[in-house]
Amino acid sequence: MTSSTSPVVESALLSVSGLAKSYGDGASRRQVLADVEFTAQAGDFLTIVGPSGAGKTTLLRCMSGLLAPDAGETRLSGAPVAEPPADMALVFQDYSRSLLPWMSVVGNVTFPLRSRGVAKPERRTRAEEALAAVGLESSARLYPWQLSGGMQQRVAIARALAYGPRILVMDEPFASVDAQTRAELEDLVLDLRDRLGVTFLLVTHDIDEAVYLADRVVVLSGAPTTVTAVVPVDLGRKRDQVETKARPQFVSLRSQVYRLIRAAAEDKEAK
Amino acid sequence: MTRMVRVLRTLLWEFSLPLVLIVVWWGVSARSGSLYYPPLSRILTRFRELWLFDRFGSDFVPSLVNLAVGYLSAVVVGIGLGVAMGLTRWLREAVNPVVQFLRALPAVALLPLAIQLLGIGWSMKAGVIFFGALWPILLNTIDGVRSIDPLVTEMTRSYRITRRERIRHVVLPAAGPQIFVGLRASLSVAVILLLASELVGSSAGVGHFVLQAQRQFNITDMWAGMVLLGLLGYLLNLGLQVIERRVLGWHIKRR
Ligand SMILES: Nc1ncnc2c1ncn2[C@@H]1O[C@H](COP(=O)(O)OP(=O)(O)O)[C@@H](O)[C@H]1O
Ligand SMILES: [Mg+2]
Repeated sequence: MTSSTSPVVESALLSVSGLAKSYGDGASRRQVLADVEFTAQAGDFLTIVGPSGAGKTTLLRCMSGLLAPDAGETRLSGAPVAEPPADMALVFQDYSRSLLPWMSVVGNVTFPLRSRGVAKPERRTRAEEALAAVGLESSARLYPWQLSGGMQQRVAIARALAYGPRILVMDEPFASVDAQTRAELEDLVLDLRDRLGVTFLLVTHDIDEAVYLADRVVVLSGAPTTVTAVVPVDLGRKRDQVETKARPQFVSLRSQVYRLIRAAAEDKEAK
Repeated sequence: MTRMVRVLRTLLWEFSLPLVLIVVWWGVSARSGSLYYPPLSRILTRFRELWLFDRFGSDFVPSLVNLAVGYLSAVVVGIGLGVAMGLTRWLREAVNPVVQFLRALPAVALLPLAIQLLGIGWSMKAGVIFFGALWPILLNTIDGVRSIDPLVTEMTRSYRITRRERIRHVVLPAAGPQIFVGLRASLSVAVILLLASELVGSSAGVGHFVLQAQRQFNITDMWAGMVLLGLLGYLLNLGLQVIERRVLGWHIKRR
């Protein structure tokens, strides 16, 4: 990260370039992603912010190898992503649907490890560590539907952590929990980044959240989507829900991101 | 303690109406002189004499074996083929017209053909039961597999879950409730076909016994056979419910 001579793409953990995607064909063809480009360095906390319908989920699906883009490519540790990479774990917005109701909490967390050929004792310890990291060690034997929404999302995060990825990709992970829980979960992921050194890429439509969490905010325009700007967030590593959000710097960053999104929308309308 | 009370109350609800009906039947038929409606006490005596255990081995066991062979092979083929068809679009599209045609044939209509092809032995009966019981299981399995949440599929893809793990731990449990709907529907079809196949061509079996008794005017024996069939159907259903409770515990508790 310190070398300034090597091209950014080479040192980046994740690089997305020229990504384009349309849905449908003929008259109903609709371009969602026009030309999306950004990079994430190892250890980064990157947030991607854009209005609803901007194609954030589409972008994540293309990036993670779930959906083939029309053009462009994603590279993870230098290798092109064609199918879901083993070094990436996804956390979905809809936790209640992405957890399996017939498996206990610990069963859900260890499930992806079985396909990876991780031996049973190690599956156990990895799950215990991951559940402890999200503060759910005492709920291992319960079923997801016995937990609150926030706890379910913690299980989904623990599953992603136990998987042992280099990058953790989250699609509006806190959009469907209450404000109090949301703040707790935001601080939880910041804490995880600090302790475990995982790279985070988090998508949100909430500008406050995008600025609060990020080292850098990638601002998307509305569909057909491009990256409007990448805003560095110089708020230091330690963040606090009350103190950080009251700082003039935070307020001005938030306004900056807000203006960028609004300008992009007006730009689109003018065309 | 409260658990005990709950169990007792369930049992009471389950058995109170049947008990009332039995008592009424007992009372009304007690002094019956009718040839066709013998007193229940006589029917039960014959029931004990016949099925505990004089003709148990010669007539009941063969019926049970045919039922088990036919039904269980329908379960295996129905779930196996249903999962494959539910997951694979081309297979579903290729096989579907044949399935739609065959399932529209009432299995009883196949009896003459089955006798022609397989004779009147156990293979004919098991074959007819298999054919009739297959469709509810197959169609419900396909439906259950196809209605799996796309987000779940996306999750298994992103975590690189192997096909084997996915079928065993995701597809089958997710389709489980729907598969059991098929299993239950098929079970009653199977019992009906067991009887039908034994009435048409047979030298043993409960159905055969009932028909013989009627022809020889042993009306009490005929009733005893019918009581046995009723009990059989009831117990099989109960057994299936117990299995469902164990397999789909997560589903039942969640509701
Ligand atoms: N599978 C699909 N088929 C057709 N259109 C889709 C599909 N998925 C998303 N879209 C459309 O693409 C646009 C972007 O969707 P999405 O990526 O979910 O946006 P976001 O996550 O930013 O809200 C929306 O207008 C949506 O209706
Ligand atoms: Mg979305």
